[in-house]
Amino acid sequence: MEKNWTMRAWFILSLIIVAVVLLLPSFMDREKYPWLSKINEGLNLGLDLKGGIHFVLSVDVEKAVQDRVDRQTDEIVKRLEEEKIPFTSVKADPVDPKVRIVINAESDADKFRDKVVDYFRTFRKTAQTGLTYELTMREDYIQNLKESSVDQAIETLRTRIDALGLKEPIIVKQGTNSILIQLPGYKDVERARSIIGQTAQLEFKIVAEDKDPLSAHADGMPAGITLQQGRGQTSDGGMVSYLYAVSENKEALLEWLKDKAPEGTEFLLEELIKAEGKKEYMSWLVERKAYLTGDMLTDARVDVDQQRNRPYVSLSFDRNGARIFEEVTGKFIKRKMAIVLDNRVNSAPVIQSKIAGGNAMITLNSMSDFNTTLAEAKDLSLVLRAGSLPAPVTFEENRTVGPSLGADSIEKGKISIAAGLLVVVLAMIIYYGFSGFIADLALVLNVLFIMAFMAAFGATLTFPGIAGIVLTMGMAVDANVLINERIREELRNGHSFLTAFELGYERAFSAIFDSNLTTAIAGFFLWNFGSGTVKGFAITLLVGIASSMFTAIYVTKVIFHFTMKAGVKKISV
Amino acid sequence: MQLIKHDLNIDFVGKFKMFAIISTIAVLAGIILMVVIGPNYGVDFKGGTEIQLKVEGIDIAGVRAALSDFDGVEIQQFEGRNDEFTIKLPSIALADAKEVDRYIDEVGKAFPETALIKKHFNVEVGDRIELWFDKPVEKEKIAEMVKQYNIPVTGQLDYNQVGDRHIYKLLLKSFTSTVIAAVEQKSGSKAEIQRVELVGPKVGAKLRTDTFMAIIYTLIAMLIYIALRFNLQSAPGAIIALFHDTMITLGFLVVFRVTFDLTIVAALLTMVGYSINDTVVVYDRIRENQNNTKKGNTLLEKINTSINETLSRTIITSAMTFIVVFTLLMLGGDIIWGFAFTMCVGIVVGTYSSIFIASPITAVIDKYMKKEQAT
Repeated sequence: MEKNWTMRAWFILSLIIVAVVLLLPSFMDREKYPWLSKINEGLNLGLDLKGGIHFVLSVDVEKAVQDRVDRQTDEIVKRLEEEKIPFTSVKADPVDPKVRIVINAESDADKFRDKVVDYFRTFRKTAQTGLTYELTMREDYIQNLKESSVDQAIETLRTRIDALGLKEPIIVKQGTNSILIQLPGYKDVERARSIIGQTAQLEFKIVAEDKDPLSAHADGMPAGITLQQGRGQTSDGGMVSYLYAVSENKEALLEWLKDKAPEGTEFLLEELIKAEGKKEYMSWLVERKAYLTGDMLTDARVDVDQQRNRPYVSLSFDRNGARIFEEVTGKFIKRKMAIVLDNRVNSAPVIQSKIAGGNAMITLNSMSDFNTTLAEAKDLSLVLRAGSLPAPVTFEENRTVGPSLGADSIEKGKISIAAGLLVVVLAMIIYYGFSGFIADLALVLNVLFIMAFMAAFGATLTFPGIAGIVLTMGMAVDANVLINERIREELRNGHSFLTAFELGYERAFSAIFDSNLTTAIAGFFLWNFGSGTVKGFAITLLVGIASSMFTAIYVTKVIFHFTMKAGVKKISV
Repeated sequence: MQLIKHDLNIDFVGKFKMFAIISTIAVLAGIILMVVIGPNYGVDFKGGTEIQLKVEGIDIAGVRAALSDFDGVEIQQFEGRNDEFTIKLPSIALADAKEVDRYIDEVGKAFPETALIKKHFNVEVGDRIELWFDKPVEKEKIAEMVKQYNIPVTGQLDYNQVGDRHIYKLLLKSFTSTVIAAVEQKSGSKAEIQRVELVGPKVGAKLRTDTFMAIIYTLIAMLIYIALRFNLQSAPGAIIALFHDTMITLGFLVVFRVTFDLTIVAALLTMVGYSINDTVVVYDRIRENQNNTKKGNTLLEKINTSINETLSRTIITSAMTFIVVFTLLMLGGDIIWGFAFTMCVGIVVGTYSSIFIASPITAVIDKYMKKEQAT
């Protein structure tokens, strides 16, 4: 029996040591003692205490729908060709999620209905005039697509932000198509913006060097735009030459190029950085079709080109991607392949030979020094690994919460915790004497355990969280009040001190347990439904309930036992 | 030390009628205040913009004058901090939707050869106007026309082309930057943003329903727990007490114009947890005394004894918790003030209800059920 009590004392003591160790990184200088970081990263402070970045993004869900319609249009063409149904045109409506198909022969109508209309479940036939069919994307599918594109964007953003090494970022859906991002303590707004905002849509397209639409416009060029001669090869080894446009003004260049691309192709720009740090843009005419996209990547990592001492990003494709890459490089040998990132040409190397194995690289077109380029390469590989956003995002708000407000809150929190603790400690001693003092010890331990738990599990301490800790102090005291009142009662009933003491603990337990559990129910619902700060409150409340049951019942009993063993016959209750 | 005599025997159940009348009046007052005046919803629930600024060389009257053009603007200042202002605006988009519609109509007419195939202005966000045409149009004309309308554009006009879609995006100024510029101009010094909160009206409405549901679920879960751990007769008393506490506290929040936001909900739910705590302690004692004839012959007497026996504990604990929350109220600063206020009121009301309302109701229900059986 005695051995049992000693074990309990050791158990409590070791818990205290563990708690103190867990709290060391939060209260000691981690820069000075790097080994502290091995324990944990210190208490996480919420945005309200620490300051930090707050973004609200909106996902362009309409664009996601358009993209899907465009892609499905290609699929329909493929299907028609596979099923050998001759057709005049397949066109996506510029606005509505509709595709218009004109087939050639009335005799194919049945086959078309069975093999195409019924095949594409995402569409339904909404109109037909003669041989022209109109297919509209189903409403529920669109709704689904919109929702899933926001969810997918959240997932992607989470991966990207995780890669930044931030703790406790908050990434939640807001409304139908907005995303709220909070990065507590993060100060580099520009870097966060570029990593979060980049769509990172990677596409591989073939340069249409066989077409030369710009030579027809060589006369009467607007100021600031010049045409230059480009040379290329065709797959059968023939030489071609064409004109491309260069300008320092991106908008003007885009404006001028508008409508000049032949059917099935489009103009994209490449950004060139000239020696003086000036930017110049040159046009590339590429085929609209993207043969490979970023979602076929398995990895993207930074390598350094030893010869030129330049960092670059090396890409690995998955099996399907590697197969397509091999096919395409085989088919378009000697031609140029444009690597397009977010609709901007990154580079357009000549395909020298068929490439098997599924590796490619992205060079960084930058005049910056080695370290800056390396940082850019790292960020690019990060976003490519995390995957592209399903649709572009726009920043609705980006704000930093001033750290001065946070410091002020922490100061006030500290004062109110200290004051609350002091008053309760004194009141307990005045009212219950020595047992009040023991309850106070349990109270202090309770606060220690809550803080240690939060530090160990990386839970975020918010200002309402501090309030939660203060409240738990009141609850921890409650358990001891219940026990002490009960002991008094049993003493009045004529029991000896020892028996009254045992009975007090025994009989108060059900009340403590039931009352704490009902409070925990409230805490659980808060935790479940609450957002950022409220969640922080609920976590401290729940942890506090659990820890207060332990300190108020178990710990005080052990202290009582050893006090009496030390020869004290009667303890003031 | 002992404050409450242990041999106390107050007839709480016998005086139930009087307390029932007092409580009914208080609860009704709470409901009427909630319905007629309603809580002072914060941006969390109402939607809108809340900006906290630190700026020197201007007083609250100056800020008010600088922002007089904004409809429904509210400006608050915290005690002891003369250079900090909280500015609340009822919406998050600066542009008036009707004005935008008028502009879009005119733009559509301005290019008769081209079809305006789609327009897009999201009131929830209000950051841009999108115009989609089937052919490219004169960019300058779009930019020029918007100047004739009361639409706060940034001057940036983006163009991109997707297939046959020609999309022009006019970016609009955000509320925050406009408000800050106005205050800075008036004060002549740089403003430091302490905090910005933006909640769209739809999000606010959703939060309201979510919160309401969370409270309902909590109550149901507690009801089930009490019915399981004690008995069915006890559950109604506990839940009536909780409803009672919530309504009266809400009444106080309305009277004191406390900003009703998510932290207040946290406080309400915790308060509910505390109040049921007290009630459960009494119930626990009733359960224990059930088969003890020394504690009274009828259930009514037993309930009375149980309330008296636990009275000391109820008052000590409530006093201790009250001290803690009261310190928060006094020293915690303005962010936590609403929370602490709610808890202070809640603890007083909750303690009252667990002594005078919850358990006596159980006795009344029991008496009624016995009568039913007798007849």
